[in-house]
Amino acid sequence: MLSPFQRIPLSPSTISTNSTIYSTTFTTPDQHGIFAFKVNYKRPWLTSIEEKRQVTVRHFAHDEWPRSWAISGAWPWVAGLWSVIGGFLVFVVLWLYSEPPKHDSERRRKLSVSAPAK
Amino acid sequence: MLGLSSESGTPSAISSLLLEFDIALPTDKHSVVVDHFNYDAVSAAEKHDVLLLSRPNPSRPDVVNFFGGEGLLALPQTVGQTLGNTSPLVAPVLKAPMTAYAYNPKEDAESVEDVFATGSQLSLISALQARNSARFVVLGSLESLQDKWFDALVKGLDGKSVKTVNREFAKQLTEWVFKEVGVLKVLEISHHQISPSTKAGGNATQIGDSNPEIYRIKNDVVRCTFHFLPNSHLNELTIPPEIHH
Repeated sequence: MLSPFQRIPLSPSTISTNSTIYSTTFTTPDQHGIFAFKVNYKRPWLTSIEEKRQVTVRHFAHDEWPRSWAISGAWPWVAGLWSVIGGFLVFVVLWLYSEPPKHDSERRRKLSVSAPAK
Repeated sequence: MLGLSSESGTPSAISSLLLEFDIALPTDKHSVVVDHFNYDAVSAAEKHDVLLLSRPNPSRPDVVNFFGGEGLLALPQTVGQTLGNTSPLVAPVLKAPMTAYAYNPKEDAESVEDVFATGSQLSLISALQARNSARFVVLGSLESLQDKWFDALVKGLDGKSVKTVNREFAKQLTEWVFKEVGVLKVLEISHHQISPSTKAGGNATQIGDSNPEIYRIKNDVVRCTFHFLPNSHLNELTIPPEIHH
């Protein structure tokens, strides 16, 4: 939404014998500040109407922001995070499971046993 | 409401006041609107200064016509006005027919060469509604409100005698100018949030749900309700007002 200011037509919702209720529904813009609900109705032969009600539109409170998983644009990064965590766990399991090679352990034992004897 | 008559003439103070409203009167005081095709053959067979007109059509298709109806109007000794086109506040209620023109019967025929205005440039009845909805009507023919013309028998070029509808038209005109019709009022304006607030006690100073002073960006859906009181004539008010948020 480029402009936070909107012109919205009001449609009659309830019509009684001598009055009509006009109403509309809309989403507040992604822009905080001081705004006004304003009706400026000027038509030939009818008296003009100019009514204004001022409201404040605030931004999100610190605990009202959407969580990361609720934002679809964040899903690649969330997937990257979990793939790193998952990859590390897989690596740890593989590392603990795998036995060192035979000849290498022979050589190490020899080295560790014979070294103080020298 | 101001009535003019070509019989008595208009004081220059009044015509300069009207000029401030962008309503121009003819420069010579005894100017009268004549029409050689729409005149009353009974009372003005020679002078042709009693105009016979039907009641006006709506000026635009989307506006309510307060002055419409059947029947013929008789406008004797009319002072024509011309309206400036810069002011959006003035509008003609009743325009002169195509064949009408303004002329001064006291002068000779050469005045016809530079006429004040002709045809539908001439407004016989003009209205002004200011920005604060104050209403003002200039009636070119004060004589049309006389008892004599309220239900006079007039005869047009077709030779049929008809009763004038001046009484009904005067009623319509005064109803409009004295704000008995065409008055819009706002009784109540309310707005509230539709989606429930996610936080309990989000706004501690607010009493109730209606008309809060503060809203949050996005996500919130706000319903705005305007309660209008139109007159019974205006129940067919179709063009919705707009809100500027």
